[in-house]
Amino acid sequence: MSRFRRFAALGLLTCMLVGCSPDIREISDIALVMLTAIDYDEQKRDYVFTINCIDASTNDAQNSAKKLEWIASASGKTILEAARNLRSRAGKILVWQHDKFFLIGEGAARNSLYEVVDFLSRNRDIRLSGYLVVSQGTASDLMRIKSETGDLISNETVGRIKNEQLWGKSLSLTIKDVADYYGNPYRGFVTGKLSRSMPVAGDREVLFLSGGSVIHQGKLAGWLPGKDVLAIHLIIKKKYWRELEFPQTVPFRSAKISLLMRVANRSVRMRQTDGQPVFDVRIGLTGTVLTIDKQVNLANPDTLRELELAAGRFIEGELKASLNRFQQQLKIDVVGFSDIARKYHPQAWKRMEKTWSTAIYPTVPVRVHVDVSIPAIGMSKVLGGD
Amino acid sequence: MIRERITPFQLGCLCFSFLSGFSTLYLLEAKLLMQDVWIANLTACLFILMLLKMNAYVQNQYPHANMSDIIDIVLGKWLGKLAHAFYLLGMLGLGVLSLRSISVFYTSAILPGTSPNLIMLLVVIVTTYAASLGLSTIARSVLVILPFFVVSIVAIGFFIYQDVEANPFMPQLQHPLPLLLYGSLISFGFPFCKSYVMVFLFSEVTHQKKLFKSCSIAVVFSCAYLLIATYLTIGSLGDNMFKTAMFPFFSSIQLVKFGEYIERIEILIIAIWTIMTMYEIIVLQYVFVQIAGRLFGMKALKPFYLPVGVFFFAVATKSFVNPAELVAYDLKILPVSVNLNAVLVPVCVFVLTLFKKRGGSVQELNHS
Repeated sequence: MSRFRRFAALGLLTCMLVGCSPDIREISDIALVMLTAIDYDEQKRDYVFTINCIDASTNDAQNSAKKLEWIASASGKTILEAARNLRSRAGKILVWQHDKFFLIGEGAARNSLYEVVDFLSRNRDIRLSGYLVVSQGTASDLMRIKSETGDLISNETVGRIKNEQLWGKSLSLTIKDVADYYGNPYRGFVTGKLSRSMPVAGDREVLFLSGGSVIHQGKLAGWLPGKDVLAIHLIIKKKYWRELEFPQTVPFRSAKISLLMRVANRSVRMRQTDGQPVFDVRIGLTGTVLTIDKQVNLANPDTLRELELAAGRFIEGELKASLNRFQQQLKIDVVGFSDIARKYHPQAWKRMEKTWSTAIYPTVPVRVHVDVSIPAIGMSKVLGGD
Repeated sequence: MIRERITPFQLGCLCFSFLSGFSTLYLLEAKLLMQDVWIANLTACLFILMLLKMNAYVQNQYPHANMSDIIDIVLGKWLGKLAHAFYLLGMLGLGVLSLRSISVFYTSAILPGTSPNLIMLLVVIVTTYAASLGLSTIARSVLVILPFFVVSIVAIGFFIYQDVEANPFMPQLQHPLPLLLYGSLISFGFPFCKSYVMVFLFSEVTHQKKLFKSCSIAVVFSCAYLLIATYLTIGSLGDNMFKTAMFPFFSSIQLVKFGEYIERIEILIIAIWTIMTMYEIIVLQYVFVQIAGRLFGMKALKPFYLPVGVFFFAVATKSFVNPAELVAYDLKILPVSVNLNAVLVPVCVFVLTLFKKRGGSVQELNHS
């Protein structure tokens, strides 16, 4: 027993040794970087690294007024150099472990995205679950725009990303997904787009996280409007559509009916018809009726079924239009059809691999089928009674 | 010398901890074979089960002798000593590999400013003390730790599975046979072949008839754990990110979060991973001391644990200083070098035992 006591005492003493580690950071000595922006000046061949950070000791989510928000930029020949040059101005040790948002300037996204993605995926401080978004214009300028609500800009930005699930017309990918897609030569991908604009009845420009930025062959290839991003949101990984709900206005008879849609299931499959690939996209949606601009009696089961069919056909049309734009105008496989072909039809993929991007993807037939069910019509049947 | 005994169940748990310590740290064979990795893992697992069956058979022929003694009896004094020297070298190699792996992981992912030597020293202090406590204490403590490991891994696995969309083991059979064989060798070299160390504990097990059963269950569970971890990791990270990540399973665990703010669940796993890796080093140090003690004819082994711990630490400080060397060793040297200890000697001992049994000399020896 005395031996056990001696060992327990020794164990307790060794617990104090953690204070001797050179990796210890006192909370009063650190500043938490909450947002990071990376720009690239093509003429000077310099990176500009901008951070938005708060003092860790004042990080109280309930009282943002007391928080010290510090925004600073520094430049350097590499991202690391630029980030380290910030230290000449920082009064605290900068810690990235709570940073969830990385904004990449348009210049950096067009000219040096490889180094950006490598930096973000290699650095142990940066979590792969952080989000990567491309800014329209210079990222550091956007970082300096004051928040609309008076809250910390970092809180507001993370809130915008969470809200993507509530409207679907923006989609911010995690660094993990960006790093995974980045090395794939057969496909592109879409991540969030941050831009500035004057809001309705506003007196100054504010930030909008809306639409998408298309990355292909290692660089920014263009922008996508919100409705095309919604199509991608519905078709790519489950984790992005699992919680998604989006409004959809459907023309029905002479009325316009707005539904709040949720994705119940989704499948994307490839089949071969006469040796040619055909992709089948099937989406099951459930909707809730939220507004109707004219009198329609949805309490009638026949009318409701008719609406379900009309909504399904309408959304099919919207999805087909978006997929056509990806195939024929953009000519970039942003949905990841090549991944499905490679995974489930390896023999066919070997034949298609070389001409996938140039000849096959732009012309491959894609069949879209949307099933809508409307289990809820809201709290009223028909305004004014039937 | 007091002979310590453990039950077959304890042997199985110890064997599982020993094999699964950090078997999922690098997933090197999976990076090579991707979706076909299950073939390599299953081949290596079946091969090691065959070898374990042979070893258990040999042990059952000499129920009162330790495997060290059996090797001496079967191979003769000088060949036996040579085989023991190779075993000691192999165990030292495995111990150093574990120490370096744990320090590389800590300095890359958690404590970049801490000296790798300091991390290894702390580990060696703990493992040396634990090894000196004896086999039954080690085996009992494994029974305490394993439930935490199982519960944590099952919970983490469940949450990682939420992010697995398409079957990561598709399309199958896309690699040529030579590559599959090489992948199987890598998988055999690490982690499965390590089970040859457990053979030296066979004589300490209470029910000799259950040796193969308990070890084979442990090997099968280790294989299942490795396969599940690989499946989840490729599935959640994606093919390209899986190949990119230095510690892929750790990266996939890092992605687990509850809501937007509750994350860093990996801390729990790091702790359990570290403890499991320590068990590997503890068993290696314990068996090393037992074999070295027999080799040098030492009667009291207790004072021997500290010098062996210092020896392990000293060699570790000078080995695999560069992480790339460690990966290259795992990929290019270990799959070949391990065959001497894990395959050649056991097969020779097995064949000679068969011959001796037919000649009736085994029974004579047991009677004597």
